[in-house]
Amino acid sequence: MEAVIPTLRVAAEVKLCKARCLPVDGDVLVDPGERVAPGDLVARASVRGEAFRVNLVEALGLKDGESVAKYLLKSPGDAVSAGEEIARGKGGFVGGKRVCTSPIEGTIASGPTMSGDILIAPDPHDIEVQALLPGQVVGILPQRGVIVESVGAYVQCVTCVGGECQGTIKVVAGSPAQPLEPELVDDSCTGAFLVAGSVTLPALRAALFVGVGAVIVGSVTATTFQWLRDNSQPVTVIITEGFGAMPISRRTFDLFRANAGRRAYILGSGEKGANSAPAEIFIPAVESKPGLGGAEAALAVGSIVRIVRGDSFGALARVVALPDRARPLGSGVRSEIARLSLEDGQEIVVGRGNIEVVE
Amino acid sequence: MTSRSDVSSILAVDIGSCKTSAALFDLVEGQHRFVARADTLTTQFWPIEDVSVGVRRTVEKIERICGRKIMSPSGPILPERTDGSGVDSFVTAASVGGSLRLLVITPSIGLPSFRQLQGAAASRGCEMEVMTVDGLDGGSEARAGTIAKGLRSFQPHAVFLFGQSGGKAAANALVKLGQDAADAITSESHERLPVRFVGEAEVGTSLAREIGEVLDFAALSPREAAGDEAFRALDHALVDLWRQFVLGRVPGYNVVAAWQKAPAEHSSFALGDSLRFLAGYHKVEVLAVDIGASSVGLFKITKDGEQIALTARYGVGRNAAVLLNGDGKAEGQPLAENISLKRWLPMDPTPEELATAVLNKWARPWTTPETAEEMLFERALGVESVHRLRAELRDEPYLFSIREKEGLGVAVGGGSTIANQNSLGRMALTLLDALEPAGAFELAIDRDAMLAHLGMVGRVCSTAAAEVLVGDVLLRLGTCISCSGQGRAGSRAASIEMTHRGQVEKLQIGFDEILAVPLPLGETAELLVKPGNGLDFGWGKGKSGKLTVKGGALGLVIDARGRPVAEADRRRSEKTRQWLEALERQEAV
Repeated sequence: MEAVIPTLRVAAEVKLCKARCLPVDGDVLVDPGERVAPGDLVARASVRGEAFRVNLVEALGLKDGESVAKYLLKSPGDAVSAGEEIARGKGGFVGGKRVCTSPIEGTIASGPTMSGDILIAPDPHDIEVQALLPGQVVGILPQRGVIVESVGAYVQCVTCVGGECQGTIKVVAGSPAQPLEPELVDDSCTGAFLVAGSVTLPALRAALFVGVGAVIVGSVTATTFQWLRDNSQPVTVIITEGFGAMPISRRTFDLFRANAGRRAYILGSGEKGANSAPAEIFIPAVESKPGLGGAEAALAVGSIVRIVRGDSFGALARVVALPDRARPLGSGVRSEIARLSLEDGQEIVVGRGNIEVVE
Repeated sequence: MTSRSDVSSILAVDIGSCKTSAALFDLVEGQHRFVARADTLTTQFWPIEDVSVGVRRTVEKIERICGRKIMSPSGPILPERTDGSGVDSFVTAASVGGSLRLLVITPSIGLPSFRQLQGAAASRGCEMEVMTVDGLDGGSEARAGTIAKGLRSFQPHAVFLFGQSGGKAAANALVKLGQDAADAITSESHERLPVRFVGEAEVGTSLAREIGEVLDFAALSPREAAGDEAFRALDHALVDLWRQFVLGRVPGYNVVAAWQKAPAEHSSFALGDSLRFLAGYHKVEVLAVDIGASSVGLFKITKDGEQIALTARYGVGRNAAVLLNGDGKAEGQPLAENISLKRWLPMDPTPEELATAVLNKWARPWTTPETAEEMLFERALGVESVHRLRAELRDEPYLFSIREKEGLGVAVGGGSTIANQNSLGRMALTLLDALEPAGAFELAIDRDAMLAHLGMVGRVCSTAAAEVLVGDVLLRLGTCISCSGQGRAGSRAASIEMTHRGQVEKLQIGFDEILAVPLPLGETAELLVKPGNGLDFGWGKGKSGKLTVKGGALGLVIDARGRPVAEADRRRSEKTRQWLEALERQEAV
């Protein structure tokens, strides 16, 4: 009997299709079939920002807004640069004149109002989208972006703190359980994606100091996670398994070891919403092998699984049986179950939704 | 609506964010009965990314239970065939997909029509970002720029324009505002974004003329309809948008939609339909809560009307991390104590243990509590979710009135967080902690998640839903009497004389205590309740009263903890443990 269960995907080679889109309509800059590099621009749009309000009564030290118009040097529709005078008052400090300058480059949008406000609309600015992945444009989303296809190794992760980035894989831990310690971080780690079982706060500070590209670990403690979220740092930390003391899974660790020294890409923020996708790590293959499909993680007797709930959280086990009938778990919840054999030979029963297929 | 003769068998499916469940109802000896139910994991995400697969698997389980063929390769076999395969009707409810986001642009949030939208949006669990025009003055371009920024940052599914003209100048200003919004929408290339105007028909017509050609525009005029009708007009608009922009974007839902004739409803709203029926049929007040993985629903159906509030911001799954809000955080400490969450736990985890448990549930929301301790964490997440929603609604503990010759009100608990608790005592305490009802009322649990299914069944065959609901699909725990007010811990909260089977039993309960007394299902007892000073059991502060109570699986529950139940307190875990033990002790007996 087979079943398919939610599982974070770890695959040595998949064909990955990623939509790279603008948040608003704009221009698509590449053609279908074109090969793209990660830094290539694939779409661009021009958007205007929020208008900036300047109160001339306050700036010129006037009593009210009635007389503001006669001090204005610019009219609605006039272009202004940042720091350019837009109004000049009568008197001021030590015989000088009070002036009001534009805080931004843009256009006088409107004003003055009765209260002496004028609004300056900033010049439109460009939003650009890069391909992010090396690959081929296999689809065009009119006025929005493209779909880029690439082949390579792929790891879905629980979450990440920090943004999308790219770097070179460097496995610094000797085993999946070994944490990243400060002494493992040196100048050779600059710009790299460091892989370890977990990470301590001192090691994160060391990683920040040398400017690593990202830290990829099996787990972090809740304290470390909160620290990462509270202190926006210029380093991406990606968590593959969960929270607490959990090593990175052997399969994921081995995959990174096999790809050490290769260029990798972190995609997506991993922040959880009702429909959000998990954070992902992609390591493009040197040569494209078209025709690969997405292999499914089918659960069957003999599958190696990772337990993701309960007392054996994080442990690997082999599926011994998948009984048809639901039965109560230790929590009292009735659930479909899997009978598992742990690495030490002990047999346990776990809810079927509480395991993930590893291989 | 279809009559009973047209519809014999009905398959109802509920697609939750973590689990998909299905229930089969059929005619048995001339009456509709519940036949079988099953659930599987929802297949929204990898490796399937198609919710129709989860629906098919759930139905296949029903097929195995009943030995009856229901699905064909192209979907459910409709209608039922003479060989017994198939079903007459297939209906779905769903809570998968998150909430509908509305950008509301209005000159004043004090307008009656705004409040109507606010009520309709709350009952539909919509997320609203409100931009008041007062803050947007300064010319068309500036207004359009600010609205454009709101569109970019909030990414709404729809824009609602509001206004009350009160004269020609105001009407023109509203039309101008609509044009500014249209400028912003077109400049952001969101022409497909629905724009709805709520206000006077005349202004709506002008707006339709000005912006209707370039945008997906519709004018709603609830002000010209009265009360409930106005609410329904807005509600219809919102549910249409939810179906199109939330549910319609769930991968694979289009396949399920093609299998059914009646459109899908939100699970909590379908549950509300069943509650409304129960309240009307039994002529009682109903207070209910539905705690799901990604949403929480709160229902209050009384003689004065009804209030339904739904939110997709809280829940025990993907929203669990929101509940780690940092209260009790000491300066320089990265991890908060999270007292508001911890107060519902009978143990005393360290901040690290508590946050780890919550974050791991957040990371894999589809997982099921494996241990008793994990179940208690989920209980705490569920209760705190309801309290967050109630705090947003400024919802006070509800006092069930006790009226002679009228049935007792019912407090109903739904959702897996309540129904999966491993003891009746925990179910009762979870419901009481979440809703904090006071007075005298029955406690009931929707243990098999039947109410949402039956809400949908009622939309295709009201008699079928009624027949099953009247047959009582709820797990009746018994009657609870509880007091509002506050007292000193241990001081006398009430003296109670309970007459059951001709025997009189005298009970004493101290303030901040809870007690369960045996009273089997189907039996009744007479109570004479004499409250302590300042406490109200439903007859008024300090006033004594008599009432008849019904038994149940747990018996009679006396909750003398006062209202509100639990202020955030570092020593609360010991009390919670005592309360759970008090209810579970009775269950063991």
